[in-house]
Amino acid sequence: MRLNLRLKLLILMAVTIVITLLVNSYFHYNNVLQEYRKNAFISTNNDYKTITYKINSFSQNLLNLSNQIVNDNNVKSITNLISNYEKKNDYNKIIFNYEKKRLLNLISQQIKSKKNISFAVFDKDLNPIIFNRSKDGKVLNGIISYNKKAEFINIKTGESSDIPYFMSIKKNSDKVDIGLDKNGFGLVYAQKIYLDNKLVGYLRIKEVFTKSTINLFVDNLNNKFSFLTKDFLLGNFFDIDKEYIKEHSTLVTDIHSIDDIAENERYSFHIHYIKALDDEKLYLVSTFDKDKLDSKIDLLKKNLMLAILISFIISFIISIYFFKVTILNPISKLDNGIQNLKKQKYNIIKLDTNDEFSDIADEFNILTKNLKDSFSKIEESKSFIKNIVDTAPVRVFWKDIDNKYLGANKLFLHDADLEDESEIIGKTDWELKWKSQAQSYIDDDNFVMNSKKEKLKFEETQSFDNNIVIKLITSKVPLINKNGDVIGVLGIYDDVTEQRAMEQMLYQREQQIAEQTKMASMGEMIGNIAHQWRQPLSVISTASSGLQLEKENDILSDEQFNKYCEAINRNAQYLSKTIDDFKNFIKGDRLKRVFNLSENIHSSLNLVDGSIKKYDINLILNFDDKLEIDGYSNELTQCFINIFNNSKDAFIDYLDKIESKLLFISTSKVDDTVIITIKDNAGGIPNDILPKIYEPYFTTKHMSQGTGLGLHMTYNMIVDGMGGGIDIHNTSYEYQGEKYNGVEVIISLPM
Amino acid sequence: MKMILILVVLIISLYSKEYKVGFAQDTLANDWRLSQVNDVRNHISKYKNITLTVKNAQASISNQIADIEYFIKNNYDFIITSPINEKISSLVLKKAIKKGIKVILIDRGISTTDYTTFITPDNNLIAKKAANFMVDKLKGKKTILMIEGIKGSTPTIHRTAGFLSVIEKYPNIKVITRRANFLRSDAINMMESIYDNNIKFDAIYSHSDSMLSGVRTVMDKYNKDKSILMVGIDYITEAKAAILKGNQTVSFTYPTCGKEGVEVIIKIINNQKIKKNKIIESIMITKDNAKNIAPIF
Repeated sequence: MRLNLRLKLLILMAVTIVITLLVNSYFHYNNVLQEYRKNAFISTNNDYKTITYKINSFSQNLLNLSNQIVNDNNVKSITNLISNYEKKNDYNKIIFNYEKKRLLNLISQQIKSKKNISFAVFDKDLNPIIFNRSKDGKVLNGIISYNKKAEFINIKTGESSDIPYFMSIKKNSDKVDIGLDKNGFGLVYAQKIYLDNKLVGYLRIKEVFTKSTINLFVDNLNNKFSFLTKDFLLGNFFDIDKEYIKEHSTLVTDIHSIDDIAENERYSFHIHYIKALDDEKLYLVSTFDKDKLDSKIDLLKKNLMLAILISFIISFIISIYFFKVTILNPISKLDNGIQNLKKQKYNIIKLDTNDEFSDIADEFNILTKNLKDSFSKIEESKSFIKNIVDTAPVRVFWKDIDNKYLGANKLFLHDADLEDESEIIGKTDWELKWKSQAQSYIDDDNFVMNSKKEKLKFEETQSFDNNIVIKLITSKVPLINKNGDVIGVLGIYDDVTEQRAMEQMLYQREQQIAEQTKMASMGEMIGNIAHQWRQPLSVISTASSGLQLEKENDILSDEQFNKYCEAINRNAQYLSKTIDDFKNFIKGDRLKRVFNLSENIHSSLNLVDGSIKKYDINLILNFDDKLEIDGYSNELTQCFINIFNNSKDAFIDYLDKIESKLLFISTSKVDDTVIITIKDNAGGIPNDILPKIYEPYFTTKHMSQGTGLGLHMTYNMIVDGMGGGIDIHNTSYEYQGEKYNGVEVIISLPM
Repeated sequence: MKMILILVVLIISLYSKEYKVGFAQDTLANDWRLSQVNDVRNHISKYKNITLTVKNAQASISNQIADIEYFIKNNYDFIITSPINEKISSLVLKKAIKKGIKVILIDRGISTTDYTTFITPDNNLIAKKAANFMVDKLKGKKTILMIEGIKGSTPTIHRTAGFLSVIEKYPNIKVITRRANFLRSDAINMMESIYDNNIKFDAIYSHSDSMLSGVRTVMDKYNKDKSILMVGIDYITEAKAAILKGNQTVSFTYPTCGKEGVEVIIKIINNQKIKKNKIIESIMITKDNAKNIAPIF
């Protein structure tokens, strides 16, 4: 895809460039010839401008020179003198000729070394005064005066014929002309001489162009040029038919466009009509060679092709670079970002551009960030779950439908003697150390998966080669996907081997404790029995002794006899009943039945009646006689006895501190719960001891007195045995105007 | 009282109008000509209503003609000039007179009467005085070396003619004429040639003091006796010093006439009568009076 995109882009670019270039070059080539002709025209026109510029600079120099001369005060004043005073004073020619000579010298000095410059000065009536003519390096000059015939003569020679040809001047001629004379062509300039705004004469100055000057004009031009007149041809182009040019020159005097170009087989001509001086025509002929034109066109074609090639390459490179920078790089970066995303590398894409790609990159970065956040949350929760699974104090594993392990927690791996989860993935129970039980495990798994029903908390054993057997509590649940298909099984088990062993031990210990308690109770019972029995036995003994004594004394009446027998019988029955009570208690039948609570408590109090009487304990009873409980009456009796004994023992310790020993017992009913409250005034339990009272073997009593199991057993019997509750706390209360401290035991039992 | 009134009128009339005076000077490259201009300028500067324009013709007749034409064209009230050529200059001055411009010629005249006043020292008279003084001093057969100024110039012509008109009466005195064009440098060249050719002379008559200065330079070089009879004209500072030292016998003053020219202008402004031609007397300066008389420049 990446390659395709690049390829498509490049092909598109290349095709666009090529088409553009081809279209361009088609139009361009079609215009080349016309363009070149135009260029040639422009080129010769530029040459023409160059030539005229050069001539103008010469003309400016000449103008400057002329200005310099006519502004010279001496020139002005001498010309003034000659113009205005000479004829009237021809008797003093020496002075005037002296002044004329001065004038000649003055101007000659100003011209200095310019040998190709000629000049003449005329008076205000255009009569010549002096002349200086330069030809072929020779200078011919003179001052002009009048001979006797009033003709101009050169005073050197006395002849008038030496006065040069150019010594004619038109009035009002006051500018530079390119002109001709017999000697060639050059610049001629005529300027008026003023003194105080009064015309006093004329200066005519001429610079004849030498060959080197003309070469200077036409050298270094693009094309060849000639200056053409009817008499001569000057310049650097001579392969020209004068007649032809003259013929055309009448037609083409000024070139304004390409259509004005005259042509023959070999050449194109531009004929510029430069200037006519003294009615003489001067043409500037420029030309370019057609062969040169053709070769130039060939060169142009080659250059064009080369330009196309180069521009193609350059634009191709630029395009590649451009596409690389603006499109491929961003795409590549985006692609890298996506690839990284696949590898879960959440790198931010940075684009230096500010275009759609950067928008995409920004969106991508936001998405990446969101994804990263989500993923890290998932990872977090995953690792949290993994952590939970790993640290949960149970073994966890899960398998696929082929009974192959998909994963397990650390405890499980530990059981399997493996270190890393990867070691178990893909394995079956047949490959693990409990392979001997594999079939049964797999059967369980299959049962759960097939039935889609969980199998919870079943206990099983696991045995190994080294005869170690462990006990497990296992739960298995089917793993079901959102379509409702079973995809595996999740199993959790706990190794309860130790727990079971502990339970067993505890159970045995409890039994032991119960036995001990019972034994202790029996000790107490026997004490009680002995106490209870003392009076009946005494009555029986007294009755029997009375019978015997009255019989011996023969005072025994029938009435008396019956009375004694009845007493003996009554007491014997009492004894028998007492024995029954004890027997019932000791026998410890653990039979759940409905019994009357008041009877039970009375029966219990009977058992401890001896202690009550012995320690002179006042019982304040307040029973709801209708209350009946479905439970273990014997165990409840034992609880009473334990509680009573604790109070009794406290009274013993507290004996001297109270006047009367009080024990409040009341029963009541709240909703479906029976509340039994037992309260004494034996001072209460020290606070530091209170939290420990249910612990087994905890006792504050002398070893001979307590077992440390009383309240522990009581708690077990009420809470675990009968599903009730017990709360023991210290209490303060008033009774018959006296304040007391003691312990209050509240037992709640379900009805 | 009458005098005061006249003075007041004079002052009022002097200050009532602005006058333009043009001085078409021959050249300013010559000390005497420069001094002449300064004289005119100094005297005119006392009159605030008279402005002076000086033109330098650089010794060219055509320039001087052009300068005078300039004054005419620009409506000057007075033209002072020392014409370079008496004939050609008269043509342009005629134009001025026609236009009503007052023409004051100083030290040189023209060939016509187209001028208002002509003030000049008399060169011929000075030359005669010089000749008589020399003739008195020279006894017996003597030779005088005469050094001439610029050929063809009025001073040269008159200073030669006046001198010779006296000398020719004394056949014992021979005159050798040499030309130094009023220039020190030319005088030096000339004098070296005299000594080189061993030409003997007993006295020197020079058309100007400046040429005598050149002569003395050569005499110093050749260790010649400078106490011989030497007569100069113009009375310049160098001449004064030479006379006091005894290196020159006498000099004849040749006033620039500048002061007199300005006086004539003031008289014309005040409608006072003036003379058409005025000769300025020359004084002979000797060792006795040289101390008290200031040289011309």
